[in-house]
Amino acid sequence: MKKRFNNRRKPEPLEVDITSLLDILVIMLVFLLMNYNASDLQLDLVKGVEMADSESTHITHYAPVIQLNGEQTIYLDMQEISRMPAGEAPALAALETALSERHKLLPEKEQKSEAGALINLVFDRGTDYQQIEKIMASSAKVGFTQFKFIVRGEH
Amino acid sequence: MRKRHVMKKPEKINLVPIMDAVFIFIFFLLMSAQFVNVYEIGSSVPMVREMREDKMKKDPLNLVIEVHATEVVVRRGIASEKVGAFGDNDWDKLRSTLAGLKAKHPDERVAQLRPQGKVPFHRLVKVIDHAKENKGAKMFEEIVFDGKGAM
Repeated sequence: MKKRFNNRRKPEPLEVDITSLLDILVIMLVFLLMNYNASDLQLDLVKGVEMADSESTHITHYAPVIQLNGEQTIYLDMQEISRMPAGEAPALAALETALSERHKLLPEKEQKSEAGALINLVFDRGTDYQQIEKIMASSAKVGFTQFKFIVRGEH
Repeated sequence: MRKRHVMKKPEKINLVPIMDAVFIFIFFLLMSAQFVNVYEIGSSVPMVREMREDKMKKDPLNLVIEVHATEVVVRRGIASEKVGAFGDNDWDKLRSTLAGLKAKHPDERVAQLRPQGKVPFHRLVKVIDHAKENKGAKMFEEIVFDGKGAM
């Protein structure tokens, strides 16, 4: 007997329409490219720090980060070191001890650099220069003399 | 004999490799995205350097920017002569004055910052911004805190 369904056409493989998916991916790609930051510094802000706005467009670089928040608590690489209102001299002494320990961990080339080692400083926008100067002086004492103020870009 | 025309199916582009690349790219960008734009402002403390007298310039700019709580005073020269004082509404004037000084001394790159008394950080940043650039042109890129402020 002749097969009845011999002439039946093979069903075409199902095709998924990926146009809309591609649209979303392209939009995401453009959005992420706009927010791409080539900096090697991963900055996490401590509580109580409101950054100052700046026109600067210089990208940040990896280095130890000192943060001073509105309550004048000093942090080094996210670890609380001391509180300035509790007594400035012991607070700065604790910072210097922590910084000198951190300085020992730097690569030898950076430790012996004539220009001094790099340090990132994050201050609350309302911080007085008096406090800033003291922290800069403590950093400079242990060899961190290249200060980089971390600010929020206005662009 | 009548020729039988076979309809050619349009060729389809293979999007699989490009999709792979885009996915990898998206993950990479997601991991490195920073949604707060953070930048840096460089500064340093003064260094003591030995300098031979014959290398001293005849008329050094010796730019000093005094930052007070309500105004900014620009001084120049060895005698620290006052160039001008600028209030909180005179930021553009401050920038154009500094641009004028830079035009007269194109080789000068250093500005000494002298905060006087209680000056908040955001004010210092604003002064540094105005000293460093003018409409994209670089002015005084090296900002040095001279530490002679009245504390």
